[in-house]
Amino acid sequence: MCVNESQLSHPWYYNIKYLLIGIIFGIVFVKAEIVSWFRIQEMFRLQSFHMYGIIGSAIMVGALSVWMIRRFQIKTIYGEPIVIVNKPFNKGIIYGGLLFGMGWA
Amino acid sequence: MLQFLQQPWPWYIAGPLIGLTVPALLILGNKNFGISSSLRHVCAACIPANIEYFKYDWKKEIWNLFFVLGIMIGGFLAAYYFHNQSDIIVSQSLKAELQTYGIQDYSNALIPTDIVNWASVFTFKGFIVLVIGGFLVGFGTRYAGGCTSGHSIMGISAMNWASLLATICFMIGGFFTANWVLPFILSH
Repeated sequence: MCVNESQLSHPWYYNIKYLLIGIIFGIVFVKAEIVSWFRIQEMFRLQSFHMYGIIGSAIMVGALSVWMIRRFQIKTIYGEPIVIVNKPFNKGIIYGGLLFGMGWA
Repeated sequence: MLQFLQQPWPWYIAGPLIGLTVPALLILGNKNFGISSSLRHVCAACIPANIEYFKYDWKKEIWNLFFVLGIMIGGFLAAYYFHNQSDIIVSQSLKAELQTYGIQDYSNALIPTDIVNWASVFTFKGFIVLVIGGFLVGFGTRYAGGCTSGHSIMGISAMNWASLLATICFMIGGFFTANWVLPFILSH
């Protein structure tokens, strides 16, 4: 679950920056055909490397950034220390994960 | 520039961009990347009932709704203004298989319009694909505590083993459905 670990409260227009990131994100999702039914079918039939490349490189870049944030204790632009939440394990992860996968395809 | 925007983007551009969202959200304001929890926030905001799960300060998570609204705007822009003029290119073996189900329209790159359209919601096949599929995604994400963004990208980046397990389960469910369940539905 994505949570807001910030203790600061800001006026609502501070959220515009998330809107902008969202717009970029939405364009990438459509342009790279990540949301395409055809691409998803190819992925689960192992007929294309496209989706694996995207997920794999996203995780690599993400992991590298998280490592750097932890290593150098990078702070937010407001000077707060960054908190990364670990999702705890529960059985729902297995059942829910299987169901999500079924709906995905 | 416009020509570049109209082509489908290769994975080695899209993947790192998605990966960069993780530090961007963390550095901009301590936000852990995720999309599906926005559904929870909407429910918490709209349903005043006394449900334990919805009792939290949803106003604090409003950034997530801005983020998701942005995704919708971006998706709309990309689909209507920079969309690819030609058919989507898929592998020959998938094409051959889909042919047997009567799926031949590749002009819409995102959705197989042969089976997914407003009229088909009321047919047996369309109902299963759209409504049951949507239900599984929604229910599964909540049960597992996250979707591909929150678990696979954010969770594995943070070396969280529960997220890795969730991702493995996503893939098992997907492989099973795409290779056995969906062909069964489509050929009936």
